[in-house]
Amino acid sequence: MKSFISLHIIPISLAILLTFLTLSSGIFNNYLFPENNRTKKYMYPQKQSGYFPNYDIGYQSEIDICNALNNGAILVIGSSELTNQSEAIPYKFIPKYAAYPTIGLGHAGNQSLSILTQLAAMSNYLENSKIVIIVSPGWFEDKSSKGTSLQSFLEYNNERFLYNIWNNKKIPKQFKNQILQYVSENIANINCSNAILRLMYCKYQSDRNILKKVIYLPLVKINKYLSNIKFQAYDMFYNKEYISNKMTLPNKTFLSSQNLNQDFNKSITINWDSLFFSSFNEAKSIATNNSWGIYDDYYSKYIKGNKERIKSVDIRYNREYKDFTILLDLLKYYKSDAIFIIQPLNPYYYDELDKIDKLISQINNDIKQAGFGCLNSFISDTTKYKKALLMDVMHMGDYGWYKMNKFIIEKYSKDEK
Amino acid sequence: MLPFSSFDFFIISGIIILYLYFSKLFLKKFISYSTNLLLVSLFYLLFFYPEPWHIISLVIYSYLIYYLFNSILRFKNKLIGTIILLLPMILVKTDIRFHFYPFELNSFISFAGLSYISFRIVSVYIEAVPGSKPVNFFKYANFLIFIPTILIGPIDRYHRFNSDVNEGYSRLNKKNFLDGWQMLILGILYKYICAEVVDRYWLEMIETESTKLIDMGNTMYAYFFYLFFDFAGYSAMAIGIGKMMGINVPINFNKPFLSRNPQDFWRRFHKSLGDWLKDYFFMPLYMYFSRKKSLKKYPLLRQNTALFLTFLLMGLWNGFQVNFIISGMLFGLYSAVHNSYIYYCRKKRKDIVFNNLPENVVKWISIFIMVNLAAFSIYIFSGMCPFIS
Repeated sequence: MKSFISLHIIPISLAILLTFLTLSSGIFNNYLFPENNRTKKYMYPQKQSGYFPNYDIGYQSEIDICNALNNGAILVIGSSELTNQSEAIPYKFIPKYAAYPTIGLGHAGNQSLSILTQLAAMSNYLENSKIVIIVSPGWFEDKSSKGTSLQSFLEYNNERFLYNIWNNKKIPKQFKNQILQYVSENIANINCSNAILRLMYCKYQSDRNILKKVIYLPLVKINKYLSNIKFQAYDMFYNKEYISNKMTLPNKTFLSSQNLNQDFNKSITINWDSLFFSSFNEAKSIATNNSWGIYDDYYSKYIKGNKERIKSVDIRYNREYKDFTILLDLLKYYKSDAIFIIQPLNPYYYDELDKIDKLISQINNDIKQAGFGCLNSFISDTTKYKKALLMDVMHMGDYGWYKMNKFIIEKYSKDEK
Repeated sequence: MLPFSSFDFFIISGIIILYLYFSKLFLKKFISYSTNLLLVSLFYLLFFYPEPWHIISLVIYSYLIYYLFNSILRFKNKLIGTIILLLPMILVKTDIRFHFYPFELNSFISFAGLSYISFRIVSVYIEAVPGSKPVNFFKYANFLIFIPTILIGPIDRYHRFNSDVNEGYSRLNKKNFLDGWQMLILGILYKYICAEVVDRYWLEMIETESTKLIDMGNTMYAYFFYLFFDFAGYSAMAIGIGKMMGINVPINFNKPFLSRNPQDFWRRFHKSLGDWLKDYFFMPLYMYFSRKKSLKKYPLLRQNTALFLTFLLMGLWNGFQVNFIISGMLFGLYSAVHNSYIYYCRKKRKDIVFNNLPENVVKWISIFIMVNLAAFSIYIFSGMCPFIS
């Protein structure tokens, strides 16, 4: 027993005590990390235009995205199509031809709930924000209709985002609940979940019924405490000028003091007809080995005459559709100046594409009812489909990007007037 | 909240252990140890475990099948009953989808730990003598849903588990508590420190997609160490918490890096699975082959075929992917080669490979070969080999 006490009880008690003191005691912290010795990170918005596949480069990307939302730059959110190298892609084309800051955000897997959570974390900056959401019909069919994958959710929504959502009392319950429910349903598959994820899970469970409320109460308290002290520890190393006390996303007032060159350049006139004409002909010239309008390389590498049947999923069981409607509600609630672009799928390649006509029309209607603009490029009828729209079976070619750019520029330059 | 997945689990386990010791002191007259164990397992299952009703349904389903085949139909041949008992696991592994996708069969029957519960279910059924008195349902449920082992074992045996349970509150004593604590700390050290260090500072630093021999070799060793620390850590924590709750959960890992041959490896690495496969698959299969007149003259073929099929089954149990199947086949091949070596050594009454080399040298050469062969097979299993995934 003596050896047990000396080898186990004393070291563990000391470890717990030291951890507690380090994380929660101001005096202890000030002694260990004297105020004047702390290396504070002064970070300012850097990128006004460009592309972020995700937030992997760290806090700088979050500052730049918040800055774009707050100061009226265009934020184009989408999935795999945004990884395209074309010069016609909005975050390259719009800054170049309309001299307006535009940022692209996302890559494959960034679906409705992932976008919803990112925007909820940045909800302080959403009012009047210029957000373009590129909707892929593929999100709503087959496996993707089950909603955002856990891997993508965690990739796009770090601890800081979730902490911001948790602490932001202004976010209505309906949006928070959707996120909490997702975390709760998936926590069993998260290896070594952090305190904020566990807190969300425990809170969601405790709201189920009175019995669970009692059982989960200590866990909610403990995880709340753990996540709070973790972020308080973060605070010590950041500049409080633009980071509020516990919230670690940039302060709105600080961001508003940063200027953006945000007037559309009216001196440049874009000759859309010429761009459409040249890109249409170019697409024709590089899609020669098939009659489906697919670029030669892609066709010979992946398609080779094979077709795929669309795997439609009933709207009632379509989790992705449900997530999408909540995303619409969030943007509406925060009075964002958002627009949506529904991408096409190649109707020559996909069989039975008309089976998702109803769903896409419903999405289009929902967007319009929420008061947002929408460019619906989805066409299931081969006779009405313009072959140059896509470069492969689901990703825009230059012709398609120009159509999209025209829609975005016309919409936001009209707003400027 | 899955066992050992988060900090919260340890808090709940602590509360449960405290409650059990409290019961020993104050509630002994009102509630038995076995009832208490069942109650705490149900409490954990219903309030914290994902898909609790799937587990409870499987426990009831398996008991009914067991009762039907063993006590009513009294089938001597256990094959049909075993297949029916394994059916939920087989259906989950085959990932059947309904036409009204995205609903899948898995959404209704799958849950974390299904494989390990299935192993325990089958062991109860196979061990039962046809027509004998059926096991008590509550004891059966207690055995299947025991918290520390519910997710990934170690795979205990019904009678061994219940011999502990039958001892009652006397199992909750200082010795068991301290031994359990030691194992728990060892498990925490393995899982949360050693495995994390190997993962973050070794495995993640390697370009695992690279086809260069050096990178593949590096990944192979890194993953082998990672898997050992992760899995042995889990097992040690399960043993530790189990012991603190009064149950002696069987040892699952015992210095596998000192294995001298494939049989020795499976006595040291995931021992409870090795034992399960030996008792409930290899032995019946070998007996079946032995009864075949056509195979009577070929004892080595009988043994090797049974060994190979046993390890192939082990690969298939992980899933029907190529990497799992090849990994199982490799272990089967190692075992068959080693078995043939032993067979011919015995026949010729000398070591046919090492001749008169000193025993100590043979031992270390064997360890070197076995650890590398095991690491290679586990590397294939990991799905990280760029040629097989």
